[in-house]
Amino acid sequence: MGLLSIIRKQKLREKEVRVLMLGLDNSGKTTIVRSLLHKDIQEISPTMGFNIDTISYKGFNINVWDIGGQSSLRTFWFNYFERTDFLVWVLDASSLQRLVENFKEFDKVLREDRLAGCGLLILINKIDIYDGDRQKLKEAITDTLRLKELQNHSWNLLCCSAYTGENLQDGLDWLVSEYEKKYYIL
Amino acid sequence: MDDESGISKISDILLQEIDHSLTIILRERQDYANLSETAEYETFKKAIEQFQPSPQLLDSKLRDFLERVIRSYIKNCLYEDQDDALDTRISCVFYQFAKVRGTKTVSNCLPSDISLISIVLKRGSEQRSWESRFFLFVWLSVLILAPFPLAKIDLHLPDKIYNVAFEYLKTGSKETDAASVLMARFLSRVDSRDYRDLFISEYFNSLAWEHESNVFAKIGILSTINRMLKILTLEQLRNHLDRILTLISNEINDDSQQAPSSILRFFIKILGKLSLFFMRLEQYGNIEDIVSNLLKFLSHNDTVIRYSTAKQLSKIGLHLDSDSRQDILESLVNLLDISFMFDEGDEFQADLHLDPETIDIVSFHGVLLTLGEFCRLRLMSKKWITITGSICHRTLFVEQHRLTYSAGSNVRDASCFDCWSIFKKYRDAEIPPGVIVTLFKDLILVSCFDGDLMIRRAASATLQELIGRHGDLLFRQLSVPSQYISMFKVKLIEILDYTALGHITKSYQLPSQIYRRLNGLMHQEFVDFLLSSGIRNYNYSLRKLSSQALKEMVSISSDYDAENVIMKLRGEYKLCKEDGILNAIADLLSLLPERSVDSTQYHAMISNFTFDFHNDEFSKGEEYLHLLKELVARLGFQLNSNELDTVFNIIRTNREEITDEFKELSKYLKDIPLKYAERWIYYVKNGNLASAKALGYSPVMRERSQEVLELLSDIRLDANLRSSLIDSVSIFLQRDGYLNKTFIQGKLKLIEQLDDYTVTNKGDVGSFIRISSIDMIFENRDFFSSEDDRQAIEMRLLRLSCEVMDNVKLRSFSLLRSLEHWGSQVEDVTQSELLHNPQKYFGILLKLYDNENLCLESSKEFWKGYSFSGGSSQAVDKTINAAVYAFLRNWQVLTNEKKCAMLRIIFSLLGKGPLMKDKGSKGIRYNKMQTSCLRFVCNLIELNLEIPPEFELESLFVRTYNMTLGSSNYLRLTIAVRILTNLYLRDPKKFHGCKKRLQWLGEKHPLTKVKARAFEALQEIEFESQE
Repeated sequence: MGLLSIIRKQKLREKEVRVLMLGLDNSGKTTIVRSLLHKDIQEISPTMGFNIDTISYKGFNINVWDIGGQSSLRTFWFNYFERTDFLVWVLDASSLQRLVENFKEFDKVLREDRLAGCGLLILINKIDIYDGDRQKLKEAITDTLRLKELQNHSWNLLCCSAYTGENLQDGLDWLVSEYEKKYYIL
Repeated sequence: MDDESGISKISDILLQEIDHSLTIILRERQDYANLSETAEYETFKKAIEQFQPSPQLLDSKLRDFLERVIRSYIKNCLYEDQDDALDTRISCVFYQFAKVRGTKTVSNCLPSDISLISIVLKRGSEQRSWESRFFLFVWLSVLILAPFPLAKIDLHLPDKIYNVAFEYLKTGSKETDAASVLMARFLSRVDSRDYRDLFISEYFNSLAWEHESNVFAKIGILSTINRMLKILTLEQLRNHLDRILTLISNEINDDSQQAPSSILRFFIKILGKLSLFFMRLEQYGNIEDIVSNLLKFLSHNDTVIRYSTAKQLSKIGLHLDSDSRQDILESLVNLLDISFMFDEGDEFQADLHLDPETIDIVSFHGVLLTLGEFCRLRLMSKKWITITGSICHRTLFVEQHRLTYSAGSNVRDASCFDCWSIFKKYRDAEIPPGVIVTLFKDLILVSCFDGDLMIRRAASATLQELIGRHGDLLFRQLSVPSQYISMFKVKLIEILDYTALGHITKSYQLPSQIYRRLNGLMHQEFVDFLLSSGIRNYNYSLRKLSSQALKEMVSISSDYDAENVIMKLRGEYKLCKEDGILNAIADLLSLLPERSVDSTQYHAMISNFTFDFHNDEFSKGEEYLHLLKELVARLGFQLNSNELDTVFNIIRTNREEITDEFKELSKYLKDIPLKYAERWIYYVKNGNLASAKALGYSPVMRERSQEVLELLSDIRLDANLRSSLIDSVSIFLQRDGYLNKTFIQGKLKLIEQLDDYTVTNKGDVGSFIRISSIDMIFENRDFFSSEDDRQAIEMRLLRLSCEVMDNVKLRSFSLLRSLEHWGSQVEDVTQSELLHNPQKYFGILLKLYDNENLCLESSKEFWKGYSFSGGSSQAVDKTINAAVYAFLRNWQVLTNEKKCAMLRIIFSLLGKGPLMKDKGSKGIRYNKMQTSCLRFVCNLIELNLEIPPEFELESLFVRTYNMTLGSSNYLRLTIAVRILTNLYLRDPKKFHGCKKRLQWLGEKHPLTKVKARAFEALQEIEFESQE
């Protein structure tokens, strides 16, 4: 029995969830995390860097790895101690012209073997300043990202606003329930 | 891809497979057949075993699967007795689920129909297979949880359950685990109080324990107690806690015998659970005893025991007040036997005295694991984080050298775990900035330089936590301007990539990347580490990598002057001649401008160097040679006699590394005193490979070329040595040796090396010489450019290109193609194509033969080589078939005139050769060639080779006949018999002499085996004639 298998078992027992927060630059990833942590969201400069924060929610410790939109992502998928449970892909509802760019990046990320089986939460951020038909927007994004063709990934698509906090909790609820569904049915 | 990711990707498909298999195994379909059930069970087992890395992925279907298992069992087995095989198979299915997902979890999916208790119990007690008992006991353990008095169902039911569970607790078989679950659940019932008292008082006392010699029984009892402590209440256990503690304490403290790990594991788990009960009872004395007992196990040899103890201690710590927790932590650190100043705990203690070579590795591992667990549970104060940090600062680099390996990677791994836990669980304000900075630097060094891949990866994962959670604070402490902090974070994580760390060579190159991409971050630390420990590492490869890394780090910055670093190392070498220093000096010397330093000081430095080739490690000699090479190359260093003696002493060590360094040194050695030139040749004559291989770079070759040429013909010398000498000649020729008179006059002798077929008990060692000769000619085509040379070479290459050994024939063919005129004749095919398609290869050769008007001698050489491929007993069938079929295919397009000419040449090889009288290797080779040729011809005529009518086939009869005269070579005679038979059957009148010869062989040949073959041939002739 190695140290790693022990740590992984404990991770399960202690409800530690690892989430990678990804998306194009300026999609609002850091604002979402700060909003969830009830931190000040008024002045956030672009995240070129990388931050880890832990959100405690419904008895789970959700470790969010917020990775700047312009980083090379490969090195973050996996590490010695733990693997990724969820990808949260953040889109900017006010920047829909970048949808194709989003798809290219998204597709590239999902080809990574080490992400096989992880859950996917797609958040359409800045919905508070979007005045179109939300349902149609969701359908368009579902088609563009070819979500229905995904295999081995459970997924969910939510409109949200880091600014108003709308639907952020629903996102967390989905993560937690998916995790429970996967690991704590019995 | 790791196992977990792998299973995630295919889990849905596997679940479908399991679903399908169950329909057959559980007889849910009407068209079942016994055979397919057995096969299907194997499919099911294969599928479910793949869930081992992530068994939770079964959960979405587990309940459904197990309900079906139960349904099928009730329908087909529970009330029937006919089908034992099905019973066992269904039980096996259940066992597989329990094995992968855990007994407790699967038991939660079982139905609790109270009416089934009696029948399940009855069946469980009667079953012969352990799989069935396992299944039924687990099921029964669920059924008996029903909230009704069991005695009301059947007065004797409690007795029966107790007895059956107890019986199988002791077997040590796989159903013991199920029996233990059953017993624990039974004893947890309100109406089982008497049984509970009985179980503990009767079996858990010192006397009973001493008398119980069966380890399996003890494990069964302990596992039941452990389970009971999980599910029973304090009230139910209150009267038994002291008894359990006393027994375990006595057992642990009994010095006369050490319990096996399987028992200790339960002792530890039980002690952990007991302590929580004692805490509720406020019996702190007992807790203290438990902690003292547990501390002892931190130095147990078994990792599982150490980790189990660490977990229990931290669990106890979680429930204690901070003062008591501190006591435990102090006891832990005291176990390390390091002089730690607790009073100065708030201060980071960077220079903690700890000698890696003498520490108790297992104790350190145990203690570090426990500290890590305390960190993970956030049980550390700031002071204790500092203390843990101070310890990790040293233990991250612990390595203890044993005779053939080094220990301590578990200590380094646990140290990474401690750091990871600290950075993950504590906020910026809770960790002293000094600890963050120091551990950051340590972890970077470990990521780049640890010899163990897993430790490098562990350190980099720890750095991810550190940078992700405390990056801003860290880089501020390191005075990185705030606008660059984000860039530093990302770049650093990118550089310490999981894949890059996987290659030790790449990971040693990371410091220069960090320097270049992150404004010289940690430059001094890297250089200091490499100087103080990297270049002197115990591990030879790491020493060399460190030395290269040091050179790189010194060269990329103006902060360091190579000469100063060398001077420092020279001073250290003077004090202590540690392995690796000379190598580092040598590498750094290459950074100095040529002849910039007075070389005389180096004579003094190495004047005391000695090398005992019997006892010293080769690496000691290697680095000495490496240093001399750099000194000679960079500083024009002149080797004195002492140094030359040492060099000749070192090269007696037969290692490739030594040879390579000696070759490098030889390139720069200009004037070699006569005494050493003679010694060099003396070494060569006595079989020293390093001196033979390096000779080509040395002026000694020029002076002694005649001797070298003679040595090449000396068949007493080892073939490998002669091959090395040819390599050396090749190098010498390339290095302006084309004017050397000896070699100009001795060219033919050099070319004749292509004819070396020395055979020893190691096989065709002459092939080394032939290969070296081919390479030599290839590299020096201009030297062998006269018409005579060309003819002599081509003739031989035609033979070599047709031979059996792939590496000889393909090299030879390449050389042939590279020669003027031949290149245009050969179609453009790759080496790999030639290698994998021998028939095509032989086809090309035959085409070449047809297109060229070869002289008789060259043609003969060609067919000599071809005969080996088409008929040698050494050739594999694939080669023989390829050569023969290619010949037959080519035969179809030839004119009769050409066919006759070709046959005449081939048959001429069967005649008495000019070298037949030679009893040496050439004679033997000629004989072999003839036998191969005979076999080749035999293969052809047996495949009905169409012979032109005008050809005098009698010549084959005569040749074959002659080859049987006076021969006792069984192989040759067998082939001759086959040819004689074939010829006779072709034309009995013309070849009546064949039959006569066969009759003579059958009657008069001295070898019985030959007689028998000839007799068989005559029978065949008789049979065919009657037809």
